[in-house]
Amino acid sequence: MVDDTLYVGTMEGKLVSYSLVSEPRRAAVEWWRFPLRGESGLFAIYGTPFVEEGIVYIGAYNGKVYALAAEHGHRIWAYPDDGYIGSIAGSPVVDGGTLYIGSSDGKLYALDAETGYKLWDFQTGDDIWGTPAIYDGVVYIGSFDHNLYALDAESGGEIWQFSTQGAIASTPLIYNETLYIGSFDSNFYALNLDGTEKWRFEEAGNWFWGQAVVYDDIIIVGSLDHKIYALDAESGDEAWPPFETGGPIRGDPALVGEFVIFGSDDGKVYALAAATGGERWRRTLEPPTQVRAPLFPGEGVVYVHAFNQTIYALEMEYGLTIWSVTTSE
Amino acid sequence: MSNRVVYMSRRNLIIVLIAAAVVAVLFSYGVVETWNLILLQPMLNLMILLSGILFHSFGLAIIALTIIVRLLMFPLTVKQLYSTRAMTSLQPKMQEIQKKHAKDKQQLQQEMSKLYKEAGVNPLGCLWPMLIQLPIWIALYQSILRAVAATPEDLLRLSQNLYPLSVVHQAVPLESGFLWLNLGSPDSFFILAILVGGTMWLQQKMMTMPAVDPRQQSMSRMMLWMMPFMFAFFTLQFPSGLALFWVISNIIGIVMQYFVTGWGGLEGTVQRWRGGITRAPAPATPVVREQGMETIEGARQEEKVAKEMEKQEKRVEHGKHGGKREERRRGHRASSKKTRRKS
Repeated sequence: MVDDTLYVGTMEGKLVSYSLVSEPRRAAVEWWRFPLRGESGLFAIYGTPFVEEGIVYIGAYNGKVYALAAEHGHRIWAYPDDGYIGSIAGSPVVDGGTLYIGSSDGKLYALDAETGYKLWDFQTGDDIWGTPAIYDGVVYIGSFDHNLYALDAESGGEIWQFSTQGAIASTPLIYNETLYIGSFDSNFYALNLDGTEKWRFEEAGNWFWGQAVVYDDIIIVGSLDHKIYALDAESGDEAWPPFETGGPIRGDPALVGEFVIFGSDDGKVYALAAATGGERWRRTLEPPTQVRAPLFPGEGVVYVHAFNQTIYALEMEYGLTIWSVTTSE
Repeated sequence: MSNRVVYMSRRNLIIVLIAAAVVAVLFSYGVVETWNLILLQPMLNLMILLSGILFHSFGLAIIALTIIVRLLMFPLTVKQLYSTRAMTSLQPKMQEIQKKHAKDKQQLQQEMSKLYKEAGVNPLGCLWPMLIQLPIWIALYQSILRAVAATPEDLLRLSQNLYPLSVVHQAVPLESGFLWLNLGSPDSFFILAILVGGTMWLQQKMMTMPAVDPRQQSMSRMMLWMMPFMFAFFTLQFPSGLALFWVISNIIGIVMQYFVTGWGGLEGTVQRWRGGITRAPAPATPVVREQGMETIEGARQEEKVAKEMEKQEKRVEHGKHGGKREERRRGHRASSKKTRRKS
C-alpha cells in the first residue's frame, strides 16, 4: 500500500489498484487493472507488488517481470521483452535503482529498475520462490537447493552461503545485525551477517514459509504446523508459548501497534498481543476461505487478501470487516 | 435355546477385521480423511522416500513405485487375467445356450448358472480383483499429482500430507526434471503421448480375445483404438509424471500378460512378424476347449500338460536320435568284428 492506494496481484493474473478514497478509508474504488489491451494470456501473481517513484513492479508466474506506471497501469517495460524466464513466485525488491527478483530457473536477477536492462544474474542449484532481502550492499536470498546466499548487490558475486537441511522459500528478516530465516527442514535460524549460525529453533513440526516480524526483541513467525512462534531475538528461547490455529500459517504476519495480526488456512484472522501472546480477537472471514498472502497494516486497519479473491479491511478493535471487495470481475 | 457355534476361516476373519477397522476409521475421520490416511499418504510418502533414495530423482521414484504397486497386486492381476480368459473360452457355449433358450428366460438363467458351475467359473471373478485394484490406482495417480507440486498451493497442500520424518521433508520439493521431461508439466515433444498410446494399444490388443458375437467384436475393436487415443490425448494435458506412470504401468502389464496368458490377441501379429515358420497362426475364432480348460485351475493344468507333452516330444526325439546312434554303434561294432574275422 502506497499513498492511500492498494496494489494487489491476483491469482487470475491481474494487478489491481484500489484507491482508498474516504477517511477513515471506508471504501475502495478500483483505479485500474492490468493486463491491459494487447497483453495476451493470464497468469497468477503470487508476489506482492513493489512500488517506488511512481512505478509498480511485479513478477508473474508466466516468467516475466513487469514495470507499470502507478498512475494508470500502463506498461513501462517487461523483462524479458521477448520470451520468459522461469516462473516467479516471490516478490521483487528495489534498492538503489536496482530491482532484485528470484525465479524458478534458479537465478536471482538484478535489473535496472528504470529500463529493465539486466545487470547481472546469479545461478543457484534449484528454484527460487522466496523474496530477496537487501541490507548494507548485500543481497540475501534462499533457494530450494537448501542454501541461503549472501551476494554482493553491485556485482552479484557470492560472499558466503549457509546450508540448511531443507528448501528455503521464505524471505530473510534482518534485525540488529542478525538475519532470521526459516526452512523446510522445520528449523528457524538466526545467523550473524558473516554467515555463521547464532542459534536455531528446532521445535516446530512443519516448514517455515512466511517471513518473520520483530516486536521489541521478539521474533514472531508462523509455521505450517498451524502454530505461531515467538522467539527471543538474542537467545532463540520461546518468549511466549506457541499459539495454535486450525490450519497452516503460510503468509507473513503484520504488526499494527502492539498487536501482531496473522491469517491461517483455517479461514480465520487472529490478533495477539505481540508482547505476551494474549489473544485479542479472532475473526472468521465470510464467505469461508483461506488466508495465505501476507497481511498489510494500515492506520488502525489491517488488509487481508484472502484465497477467495476478496480483499477485507478489518478494524483493529474487534476485527470487524469495514469493507470487502472482490478482485475478480 | 441351542448354542450354535459359527466357524470362520482365518482368511475370512482377516477380511472381516480389516473391513471393521476401515469402517471404524471412516466414521471417526470422514471419507476424505480416511482415504488420505489409508491410501494417499502412505503412497505419497513412500514415493518421496524413494526419490530421496534414488538420487533425488522423481522420475526414478515414479518408476520404482509403479513397479512396487504392480508387484504387490500381481496375484490379483493374475486372477483377473485367468478369470477373463476362462470367461472368454466359455463364450461359444454361452451363445449356444442363449440361442437355444432365447424365449425362456428362466431356463436360460438356469442353464447359464449350470454352465458356470460345471466350468468352475464365477462371472464376477474378473470384476473383484479389478474393483480392489481401482482405489490403489486412483491413490497412486493422486499421489503423483500431489508430489509434483508445481505451484505454491500444491506445495502447501503437500506439506500437510507428509509424515514427520526428516528424510521426507528434506527431499521436498522434488526434482521435477527427468530425461527430457519436466514432470510437473506436459511433454511438449509428444514422445510420451506416442509411448502412452502405443503401449496401451499393445496391452489392449493382447487382452482382446477373438469374440464370436459381432456386437462384442465391434465393441472390442472400438475399445482397442479409443482407449489409447483417449490416454494419448490426456498425456498432452496432464503433468508428464503421470504419463510416465502410465507408460511404465502399461509395459509391466504387457510383460505380466505375456507370462500369464501369452501374446493373446497379438499372437497372429507376432507369428507374422516371426515369418510364420515356427507355429501356425492363431485361429480367427476361438476353439471350444475341453471342459477342464475353462476354469482357472483348468487353464493352469492345460499349461502343465502342454509343457509335459513338449518334454515328452523332446524325449521321443532324443530317443530317435539315440536309436540312430545305437544303430551306427552296432553297425560299427559289426564291421569291426568283420574286419577282425578277416584278419
